Amino acid sequence: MSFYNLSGQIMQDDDGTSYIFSDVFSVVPANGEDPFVCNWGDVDSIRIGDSIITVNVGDRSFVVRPEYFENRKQFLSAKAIASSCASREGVTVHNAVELLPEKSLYVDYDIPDFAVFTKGQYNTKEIKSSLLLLLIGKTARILWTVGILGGIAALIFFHLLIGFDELNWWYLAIGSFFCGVGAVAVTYLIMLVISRIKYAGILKQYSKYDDTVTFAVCDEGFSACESDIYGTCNIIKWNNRDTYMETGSMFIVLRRGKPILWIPKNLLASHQYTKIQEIFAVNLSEK
Amino acid sequence: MAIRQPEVTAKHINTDDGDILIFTVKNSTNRIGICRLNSSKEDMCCLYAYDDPVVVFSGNTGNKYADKVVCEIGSMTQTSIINTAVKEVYDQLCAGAAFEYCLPILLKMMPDGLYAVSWQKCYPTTGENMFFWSGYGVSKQLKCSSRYIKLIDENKNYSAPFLIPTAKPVTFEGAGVTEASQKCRRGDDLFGLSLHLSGFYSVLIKGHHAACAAVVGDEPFYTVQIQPVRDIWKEETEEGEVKAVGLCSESFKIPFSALDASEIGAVLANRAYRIPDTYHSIKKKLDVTKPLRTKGIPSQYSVFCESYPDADMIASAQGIDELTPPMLEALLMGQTTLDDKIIISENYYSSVTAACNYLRYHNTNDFLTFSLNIMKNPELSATYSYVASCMAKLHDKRVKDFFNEVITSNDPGYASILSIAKSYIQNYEQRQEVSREEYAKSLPKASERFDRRNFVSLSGVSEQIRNGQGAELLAMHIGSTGNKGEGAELIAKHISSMVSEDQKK
Repeated sequence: MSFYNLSGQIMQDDDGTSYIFSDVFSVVPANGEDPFVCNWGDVDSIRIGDSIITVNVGDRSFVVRPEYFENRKQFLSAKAIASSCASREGVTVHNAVELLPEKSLYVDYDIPDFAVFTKGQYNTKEIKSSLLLLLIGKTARILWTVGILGGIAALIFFHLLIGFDELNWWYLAIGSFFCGVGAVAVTYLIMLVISRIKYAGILKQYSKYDDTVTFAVCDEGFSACESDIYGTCNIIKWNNRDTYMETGSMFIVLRRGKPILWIPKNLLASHQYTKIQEIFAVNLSEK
Repeated sequence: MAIRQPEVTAKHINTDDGDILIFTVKNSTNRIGICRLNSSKEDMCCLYAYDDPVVVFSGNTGNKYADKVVCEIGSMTQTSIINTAVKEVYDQLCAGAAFEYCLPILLKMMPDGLYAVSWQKCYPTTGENMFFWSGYGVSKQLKCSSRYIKLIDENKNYSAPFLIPTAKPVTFEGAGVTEASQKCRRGDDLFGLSLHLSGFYSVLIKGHHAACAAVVGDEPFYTVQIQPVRDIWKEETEEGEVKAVGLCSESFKIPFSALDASEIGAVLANRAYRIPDTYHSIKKKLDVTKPLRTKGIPSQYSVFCESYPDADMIASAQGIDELTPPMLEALLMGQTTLDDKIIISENYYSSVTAACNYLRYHNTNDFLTFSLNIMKNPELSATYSYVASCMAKLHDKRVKDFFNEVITSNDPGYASILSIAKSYIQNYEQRQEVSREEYAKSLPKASERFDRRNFVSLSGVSEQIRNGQGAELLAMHIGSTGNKGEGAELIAKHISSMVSEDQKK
């Protein structure tokens, strides 16, 4: 469990019923009835949206609506407590698409003073371009394959249709090459359209992201958390298979092929930039 | 942003167990509490007072069935704001003030939540016949320091009679004991102020000398025990559903019906651990602080404490409802049930050990009769070792005679307890009774108590040194130490030059 820097959160609905997110989940009715108290381990599932949290216990479903939260900080705190408590108990948490790493990945650990700390907001354009670069990077092999296969197919097609001889082989070879390039271009465009449709939700989510984020990176792991709920005792430890890539504007750490950490380079001073490169080189492999 | 003021309210609740005084704390300053120490080495927690680590405990801290390993590190009253509050509360309690009136001063420094306060009889030991203050700074596993104790039913309340010190042994003064025996009383009883930690144990915030006085005077010692109420009390309904019906702690159960929504919220929203603002300072101090054992507590105290019950005895006494003669007879016959009811436990060994501890607590003679009968039955030889070790804790002629018989008989059945018998006989002859009266007479009178002189700090108070009075005090201090060394001379020269520079200006 982590996020001990946060105190328990009490959200109240219009009727005065209190929803309490702490080491246990509880609902205290305003009419004096006995409260409903359950351990996070007894919760069936939790669904966390943009600003709404639904807790399902047996046949009961408790919905903590956006208007019940006093402010954004309270929502973030409740979300962090619920995620970390539920993950410890092995409860399924359905999260909305997030730019920051899931809170359930954090563990209790003091980030050392000599870690790289920085704070700031994401530039949505940089995120979009980095995301597309990431997607294209993922499809590079496919595009190469499509190009080669397209070229070969064109060669065979030309041979069967026209037939190679001493006079035309040069033109047909160039024609085949351009056919391959054309196939790559068409495939790329199709994939781009599919990617945009597929990741429209993520891009939309990222484009409205305006929380200030505190980053910490050290040899043991990293933290990228909304500054409102950041604590120096929460960390996500490096995994053996974590990789990283560097784009023009971002450091991106990937876990199981998915981006888990985005660090904008413009938030880093030159010495921090060098130190992060060193930490990544030691603890991660470059993609 | 408006500053939220700490809010402490008190109320009496009538429950099946009697009247309970509870305090609800909201918006506290969090100056005293327990925090986790995130360490790569082990699972550790720390009781802190502002930015001072006081007691560190480790060993499955999250496990409610595991005993804690505890080590005292610092002092609870090192920070002046806490020291002042504790002193004020204690003085008012000595003057007979009601708990509701004086405790809020201290409670507003503790984490938000619900606290039950009681007048608790305590044994000033570590739970194993050792004077509690003598064990300061030694890392030790405390018996029965888990939330749930093996012999006591999980739904049953139990008291927490043992103490963990929070004052450094260097503060012990013989004259302080004499003074405490006169002044540190509420009514006629010697008392202290304690905060419940876990299981049978509370940390003594104030009243260390009063505890010493109680041991020397062979008087009972009480504490005003503050017990956080933070567990959920669950019960099975008629439909077989386990439902939360209230809040509980080791010694108290409070039904939800006795509390209003805000009080319930204060407890349920409270987390097991918090990270205080001073966390990094606490951790840094912990890294450099090593338990100092410059001055020990006189050994007489541990000798005097031999008569107090230990943790096993208390667990048996509180966990076993009754142990009738027919039950004991059944146990002696090697049975664990009587009339189809389990006497203590299904396990025979556990039953005998618990019975021994129960009898030791209630009646030494019954215990000796029972244990000697066990020793006569060769079929119960599996329990010999434990029973003999319990017998060896008593200074009694019957025990001596039995152990003599063990040594002389050369019975192979007693092979497992031969070493215990020999050691007992050897110590029996050498044992010298330490008289409490004589020790009490040897203590200095309260008027002879050493008063610490005011000192002049040399760091960052140049104004104080420049001030003629400060310089004078420092010069006096150097003179009084009789230090004729180069260092003293240098300091004196430095002060005089500073003073003359000031005068010139």
